[in-house]
Amino acid sequence: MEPQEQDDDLIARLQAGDLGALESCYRLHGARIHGLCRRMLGRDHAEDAVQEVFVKVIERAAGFRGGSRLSTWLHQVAVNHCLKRLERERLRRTLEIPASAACRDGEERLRAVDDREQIERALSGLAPEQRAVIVLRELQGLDYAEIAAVLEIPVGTVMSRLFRARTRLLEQERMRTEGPRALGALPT
Amino acid sequence: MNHESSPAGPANGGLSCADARLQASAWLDGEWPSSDPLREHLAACEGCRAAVDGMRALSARLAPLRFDAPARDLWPGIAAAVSRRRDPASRGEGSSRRPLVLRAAAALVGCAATLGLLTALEGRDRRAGGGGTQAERTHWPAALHDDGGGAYSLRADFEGQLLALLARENGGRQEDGSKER
Repeated sequence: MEPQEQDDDLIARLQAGDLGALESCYRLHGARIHGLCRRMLGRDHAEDAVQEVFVKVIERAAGFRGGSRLSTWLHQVAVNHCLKRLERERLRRTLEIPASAACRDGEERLRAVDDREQIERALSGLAPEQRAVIVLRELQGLDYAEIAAVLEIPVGTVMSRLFRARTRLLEQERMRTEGPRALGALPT
Repeated sequence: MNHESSPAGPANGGLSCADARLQASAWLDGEWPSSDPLREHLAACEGCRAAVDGMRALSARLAPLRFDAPARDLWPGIAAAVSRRRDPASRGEGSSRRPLVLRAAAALVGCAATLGLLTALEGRDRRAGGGGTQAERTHWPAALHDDGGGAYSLRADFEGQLLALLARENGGRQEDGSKER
């Protein structure tokens, strides 16, 4: 079955309230939706968010008019859910990073873990709208048109928002490595 | 790293550094053509080349975060949540409605019981030929406050009197939960 046919079949079954279709949908897209929620909300909230997103998926399937791929619509439901949750809870805390279990591992692995923690912290410091575009592009691999569809913004806005998010992340990195003197030479 | 920016000019492809970096960001994503002005700008501007290198390195650093499946299968929880919402007996919305109905029923029962009690007490006073103190021979309707629209509530100053009377009528038996006949 072609991907579009598979989508159409799943959507029709979801619209009929078929729980088996929702499970298929979760098996196909659950890991990616989890990754999205994990990066938007942090590890502690990700699993709850995935559950809430898939409940919304079967409840709102009737309203899906088929203008985009199923995966794009799923991302839209998930991103909106995360943004609403961030807004509601004003969850702008630093993502909780577990104490490194790799302390006695090799120096290279330690550096990798450290780097991952730093980049996670940097992501959590972005405004929700910037975090959404960088997660959708860099982690979910969506193209600009798909991101525009998910966020319901023009492609040009995706382009500029992504650029600002990257610039902000690089600024944070420079601040971390160079300290306040980096402020004197921020890229424009 | 030199991040100083420059305005658009013929020496840098006719692009300002801000425009060049914006376009380069999209070009790295494969969403912007590698145009001559952009190439010329990057060739002439060390700061923008450094910025592009930074963005490229950032993508590489974000790559390990791409694959992040949940540590456990979340499907059982999702299926249970959907079932809960479909089953009116156990869904959250049902439980939020039910107390309202129960509260309304309790209010009606409470009103009926109060009116019944007042009627019974007034009848007892009449049968006793107006015995008891003046306070005990209370004109009970006066104890009710007219809330308008045919609704009545017990006046606060009579509540104490009523409780004292009840305690005397029951001879303290209500404290252990037994009912008066």
